[in-house]
Amino acid sequence: MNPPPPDGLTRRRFLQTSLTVGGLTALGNWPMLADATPALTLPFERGERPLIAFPEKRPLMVMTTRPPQLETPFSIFDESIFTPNDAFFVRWHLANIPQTIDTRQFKLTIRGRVNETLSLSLLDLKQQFESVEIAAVCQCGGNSRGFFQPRVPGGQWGHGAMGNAKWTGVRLHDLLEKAGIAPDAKYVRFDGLDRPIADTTPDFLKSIPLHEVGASQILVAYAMNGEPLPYLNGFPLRLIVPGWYATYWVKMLNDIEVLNEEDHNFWMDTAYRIPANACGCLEPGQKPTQTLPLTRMTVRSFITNIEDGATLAASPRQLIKGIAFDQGYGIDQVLFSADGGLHWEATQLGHDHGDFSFRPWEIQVVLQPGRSYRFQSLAINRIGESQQLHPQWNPNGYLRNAVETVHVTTRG
Amino acid sequence: MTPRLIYSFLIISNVWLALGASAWGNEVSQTVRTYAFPTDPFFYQPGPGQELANVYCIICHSAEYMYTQPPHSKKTWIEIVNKMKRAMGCPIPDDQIGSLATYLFQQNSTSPIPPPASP
Ligand code: HEC
Repeated sequence: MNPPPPDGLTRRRFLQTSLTVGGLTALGNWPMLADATPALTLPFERGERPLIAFPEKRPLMVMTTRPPQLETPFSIFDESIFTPNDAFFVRWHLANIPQTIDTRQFKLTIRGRVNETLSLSLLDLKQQFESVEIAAVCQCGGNSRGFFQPRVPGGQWGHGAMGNAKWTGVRLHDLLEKAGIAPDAKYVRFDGLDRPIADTTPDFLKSIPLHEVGASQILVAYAMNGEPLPYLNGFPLRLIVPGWYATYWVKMLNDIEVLNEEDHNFWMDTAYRIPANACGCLEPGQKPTQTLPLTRMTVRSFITNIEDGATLAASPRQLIKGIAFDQGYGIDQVLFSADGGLHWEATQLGHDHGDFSFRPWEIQVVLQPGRSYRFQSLAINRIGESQQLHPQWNPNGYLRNAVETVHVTTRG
Repeated sequence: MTPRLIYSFLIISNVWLALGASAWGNEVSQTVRTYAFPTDPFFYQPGPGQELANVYCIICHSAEYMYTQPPHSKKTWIEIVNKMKRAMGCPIPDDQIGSLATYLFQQNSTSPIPPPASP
């Protein structure tokens, strides 16, 4: 096989690459392996997803191969409160992602409305700025989109387009302070090394108002759970915007531009918009007249140790456990219902890893023989925001935070 | 698997091992990382209009983006194709949009998501 030519259309079509996992090899485009590919099915129409291991990743649910969009199988969230790097979901917009990164040459530029343009190597970042760590949930704006009723276009994720990690890096605030912000600065725009395949497609850029940066804990991270970022999660640098949806967490970050006006690029002005009302929701089928950029995450919780449709033995003490998170106020309580929301009980919250992290919770319940249960969890954050009892709808499939139901039957 | 591919995987794993000892040592600032991106696992499947889709709809992303969509109406497929043209720059001529949308609607409502290795 010939080495791929530099970026371009043809190599995408004809290059045949292999995926190697722990010595086993699965070759793309080889018909004989078709039947053998393991898969998981998300509980909605057209929810079949093959499980394939990309380099550095364990087998994940493939939504699209090019660009890579990989969902974390939900059972992973029961194994640890921090999502392992090799299981962390992957979501790229544009398929022209560099195949090689030379970290000796790599520079992060800070430019625009600043007093001094900075061009920082990875070592500069490490040596010239204080290193900080924060536990934070990274959740795609479209996480759970596949559950919208009526269904909406967009990436059809189950609940696994999220993950929780400890991110290590330097404060965006410190970088901007070093560069010196011009008095007329208003927005900060972020760009990564990914590029569109066609020049006609808008490059992926995201902007954050400057006034959000000062008080925030936004980081330029170089490590995730104590390891360098996996390539697909944004090696070598990724913007971490605790409490905000992952669309802002720009991967392979190499350019920070301070602007003196609002950014009207496609990914701010047209994509990632929600209806401009209190719930960010509409009657199904409606189109919004006014919209706002999607920013902060809604409060959510999940049961992680029991699958929807499970059959369990009757038990005087069945352990139910799960996770909860919000935009960073922190979780105040998680309630549990075994009867689809008629009665609620308090659960026990587990270790607090910080306001932006997954918060574990658990409860022991009595399960009678021969019964049907509808397990639900309902999280409430420290300012009293709670999950919605019934799903809300918007045309882009954002913000889902309905109480989810796990149907369980017990043996007779 | 060709030797070249084995080699490119080894580059990744070697770097990885080097980093295992110190998560962010000088090594990470001194390495060349390569990544072997897999290619499209399948293309658009047979049906009237297949050629249009295999020309215009695999330029920027794999066909999986279409096949994993829920069953959309034909109207929604026209909207999606128009979005691909207007917002992303898909070079489909206007007079082909109808035939392409009919094909996409057909595939998306009747054809299962192809398995990863189908031709
Ligand atoms: C010039 C590049 C380009 C071409 C050509 C293109 N697309 Fe896309 N398409 C994109 C990008 C970029 C996205 C991702 C948008 C995002 O990440 O939010 C996308 C997303 C999608 C989605 C996901 C749903 C959505 O609305 O985002 C579908 C379905 C889709 N494309 C189908 C098609 C079909 C069918 C064609 C052929 C008419 C096509 N695409 C041609 C660039 C392109």
